[in-house]
Amino acid sequence: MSHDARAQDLWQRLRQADVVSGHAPDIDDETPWYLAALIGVSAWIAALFFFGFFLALFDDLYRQPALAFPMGAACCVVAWLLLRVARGRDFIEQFAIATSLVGQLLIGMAFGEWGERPGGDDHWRLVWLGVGSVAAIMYALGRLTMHRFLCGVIVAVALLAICLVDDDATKHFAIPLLAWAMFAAWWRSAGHDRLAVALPPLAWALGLVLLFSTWFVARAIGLFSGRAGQARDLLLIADALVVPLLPLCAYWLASRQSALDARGRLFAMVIAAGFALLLWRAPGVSIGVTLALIGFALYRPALLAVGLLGAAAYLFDYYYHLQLTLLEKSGWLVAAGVAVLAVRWAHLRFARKEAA
Amino acid sequence: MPLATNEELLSTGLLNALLLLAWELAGTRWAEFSGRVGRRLLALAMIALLVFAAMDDIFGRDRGLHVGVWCWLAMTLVAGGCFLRLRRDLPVLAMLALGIIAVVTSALAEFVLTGRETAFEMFALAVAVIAQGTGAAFVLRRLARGETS
Repeated sequence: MSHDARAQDLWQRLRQADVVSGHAPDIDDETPWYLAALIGVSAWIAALFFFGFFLALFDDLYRQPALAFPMGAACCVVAWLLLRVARGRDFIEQFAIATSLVGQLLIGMAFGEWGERPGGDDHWRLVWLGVGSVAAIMYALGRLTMHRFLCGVIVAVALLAICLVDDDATKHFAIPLLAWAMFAAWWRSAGHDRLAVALPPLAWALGLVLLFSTWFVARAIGLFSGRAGQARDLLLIADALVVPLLPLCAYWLASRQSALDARGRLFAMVIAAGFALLLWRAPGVSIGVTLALIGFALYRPALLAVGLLGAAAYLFDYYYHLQLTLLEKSGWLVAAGVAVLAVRWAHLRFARKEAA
Repeated sequence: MPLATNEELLSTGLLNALLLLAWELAGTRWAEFSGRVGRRLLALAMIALLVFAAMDDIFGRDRGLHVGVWCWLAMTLVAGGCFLRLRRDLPVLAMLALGIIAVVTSALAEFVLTGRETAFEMFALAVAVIAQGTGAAFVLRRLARGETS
């Protein structure tokens, strides 16, 4: 009987004895974060050498999608089989992760070659959709947390690329799309036993790619250069789409606290909405604070730190954005700072009264 | 043009090593310095810069003394001994292990890859990286189990 089957059997018996209820959560491999980082980085390095191995083995592989695709698919199948037997065996785990990444790289290369059309009419959106779909399938099949995280990064990058590859209106909606996808992943993972282990790697990947894109990608594609007309309107709409994220998140997390009644939950949501509205032209702050809130409420200190650092780094970057004047930016930042201090003061007074 | 020269990487890495030493000494006296986050951030800065300096030294063919490699080696031995024996900190040891993987793989690649790579050489390098990663993970996992039991 496999490790998974034994765990399922044990869960079944515990449920029959009324000790637990609901579905069994996925098995967590309980790898500490520093080990996961070590394994992840070395798997990427090994994957690059494996990729070089295939390139050296077959001449001109770039131009042969009919060869690259089946080889990539074979690598993915091998990785899936290895991941099924790898539990706790470090060498097989790393080998499987590297093989999976190489498989996805080869398939992505084949899609890229198929997507290229003479005359510049390329189908990059479809190419990235294919890459993201393969990564999503590997995510579902390979249960190892680090493997899932790396596949999640590919899914998140594919989502971002689908929005950005063509220079049209969709590029403005890349950040709201990632932000809502990240929120949905955390929300579902906190609410369902079965998803409690399966979804956090994707949520982490979406969050990190989202923070990265609020800092660098937006600047690289010129979202923040002074624009007029339709582009400016689209940017306003995209920023507005991020605004409900923080109040909704505050309401959801407040609902999980048994100490807060309906009035307290509403109060938390209104305060969060006010903060998000004050900084609605700086969506990176709302996103960072949302991550920090989720990290705090779900007892994930690393997420809390990443969220706070992300918000701080975005504020630093925001200073150089050109879509608002310095005076206007300073005004909004001062207003947000005063509002936060006022809420804290009011909260402390309220708490003291309650205690008395 | 590179972002930083080898000398700049080395001097900044050594400065971070001094700061880490000062942080650790201060931690014995003042409780404010006894936290783990500051230590780990300083260790990350020190290790990353000295690893980059060593890798730059390895790939820079015309350098004879390999000061970067020696500095990195000395730092790895001293920091590894301290964070293993005196103040055990597994994340810092994981950073040191990643540094060893990066430098050893760079040295192997410099030795093996000559511009006309065959598939065997690339495969051997991939296996070498996985073997090093596995070894490091095995040791760190055992140390972690020893800490919790």
